Amino acid sequence: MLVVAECEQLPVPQARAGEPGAWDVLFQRYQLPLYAYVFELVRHEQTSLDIVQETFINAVRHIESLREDEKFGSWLFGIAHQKCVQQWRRRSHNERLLDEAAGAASDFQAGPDELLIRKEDETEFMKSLRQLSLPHRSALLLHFVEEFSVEEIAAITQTQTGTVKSRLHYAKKAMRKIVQQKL
Amino acid sequence: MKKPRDVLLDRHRWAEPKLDSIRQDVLASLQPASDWEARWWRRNSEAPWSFREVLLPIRWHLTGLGAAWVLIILLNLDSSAAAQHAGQNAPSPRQLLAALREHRRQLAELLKPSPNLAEPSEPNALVPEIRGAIQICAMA
Repeated sequence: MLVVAECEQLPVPQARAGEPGAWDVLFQRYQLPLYAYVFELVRHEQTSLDIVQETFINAVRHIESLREDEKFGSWLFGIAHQKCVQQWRRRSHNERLLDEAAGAASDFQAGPDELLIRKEDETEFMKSLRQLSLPHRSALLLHFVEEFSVEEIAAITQTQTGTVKSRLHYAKKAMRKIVQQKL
Repeated sequence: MKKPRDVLLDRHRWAEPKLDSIRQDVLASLQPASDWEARWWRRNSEAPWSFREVLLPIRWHLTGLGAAWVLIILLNLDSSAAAQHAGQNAPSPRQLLAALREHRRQLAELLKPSPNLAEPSEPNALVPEIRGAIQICAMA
């Protein structure tokens, strides 16, 4: 499988021009992280595959709405996130999306590359992740899977940066026992 | 030890064949059957987006214009109803013609010289005669 190194520039201009080869590269780059993100939110295999397909189709149709080429990843995840939100609403009208007040998370500093998980803790890590509420899980997944910045996560989830920081702080605190700091 | 990203991706790597299939399906839909079809799809996929982009900034102006037109139409309906009502009380053409003839007759009567003016009028007893005229007649 062709993997585009992160330092390489993604062929977004060529994709805008409609080149199928460029779209192939972009989809290969993001298909697995996108699926992992969607699945951890909706927790249903077929629904996750459908959402990924719809996300790709929408990306092709509405590539003109992407303002900056370097934001392609966060833009793509934003489309997928909205589809997940629609799925949540369809499933349960009574589900409350808990939210804390923005302004907390003063000690949110550790980046995703500084956190490591032991092999024997991987299952516990996934279990703890799935116990988080959807907003917290969403923020943490975006932080882990694609290492999006707080601003990018706020744009994807259409929330304030303070809210994102607060959610990340809470989510990491909840998983503190599993996730270990790099020594 | 692994990074959280690697843990997550490894957990779902089994889905890659299905994701490859989805990717191929989407890419296949990108291939146009002909140049004409490609242009048609491009034009029709862009048009609603640009149409929306054009209308959205001026939606309030369009709403105001629409309201003004509705008002104009309502006012026109009201005045045409009044005109219709006035039209119902208007005299018929025959009545108008008869009235016109009557007016003409009256006008002709006013303008026509009176037949009594041609004959010598009888002396008016109240108007005094000239004495000289009476005496001359008497002497004759």
